[in-house]
Amino acid sequence: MKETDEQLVSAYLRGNDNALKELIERYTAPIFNFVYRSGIHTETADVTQEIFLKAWKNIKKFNIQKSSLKTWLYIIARTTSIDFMRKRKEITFSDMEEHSSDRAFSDTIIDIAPLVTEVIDRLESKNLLNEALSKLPQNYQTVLTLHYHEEMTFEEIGLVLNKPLNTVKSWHQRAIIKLRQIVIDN
Amino acid sequence: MHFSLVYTYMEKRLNELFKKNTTKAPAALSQDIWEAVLFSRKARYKYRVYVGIGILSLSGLVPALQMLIREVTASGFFQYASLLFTSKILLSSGKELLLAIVEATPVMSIVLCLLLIILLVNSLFIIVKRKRVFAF
Repeated sequence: MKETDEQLVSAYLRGNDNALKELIERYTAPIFNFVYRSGIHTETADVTQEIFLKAWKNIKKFNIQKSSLKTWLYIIARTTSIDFMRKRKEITFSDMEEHSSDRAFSDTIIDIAPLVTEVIDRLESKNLLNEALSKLPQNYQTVLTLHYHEEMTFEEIGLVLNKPLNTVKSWHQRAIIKLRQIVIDN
Repeated sequence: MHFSLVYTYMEKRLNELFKKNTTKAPAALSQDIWEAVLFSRKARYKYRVYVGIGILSLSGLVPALQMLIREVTASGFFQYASLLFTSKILLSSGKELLLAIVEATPVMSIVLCLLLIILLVNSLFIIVKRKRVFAF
């Protein structure tokens, strides 16, 4: 039976190196994809490596009571990616902080659901996803990637982004609307 | 009911679309990361060894310096050395004076102090360098 992430962390802390190797193999592809989708297209592998090194250095601080290992890894991935882009001056503070509305998701989701099917059809037929995502603000990209690619819940995404649940839901909704606009304009 | 069906359909389609557009990681990346972890682990061990050497040499330097001062005072080194500035004695019995100074020099203490200073400076240099590179 496949061991859980948390079992692997415990095994590594007890001295089993293979457990850490297994964790690295398990998360390399999704973290690499996340970094790429965060807008780092040239040094994706280096940033991915840095994320795992940071995780390894801080693995004793990992607290299962606070979050799952997956969420914890994505928190490190996000902060590392932001630091990298700030160093490269590809991201500004306002990119991260704007658009933080706390409007309830349930108030607005009804408006977007029918629109999305139309967007998906276009994205699929024109193979536009990566291009359209790159035109979205950073936080919107992150929400969509974590939710649809990594299948994380909005609560988990809230932990990664350090934002309240309603803000994440609101960003998700706005991201979909913006995505739709980009697809229509294209 | 209708809304939840539409929403579930939307989620499913977007999941598929995102999965289809995954950016593939290089095949050897996991292995590279694992090797980087092993390398950093070795570097961390070495860093800790140098921190230990630094602490030991610093704590050894204090008694070594005290010993050096004590020996220099007891052997009359300073008295002999001060005679070097007296031209009369230097001219009449310079050779004997130099021999007396050499004899009074606490060689072992000086060597010990120098060794500890070199160790301390060297380990400090390596600690600072590793701290900057590996951010331990």
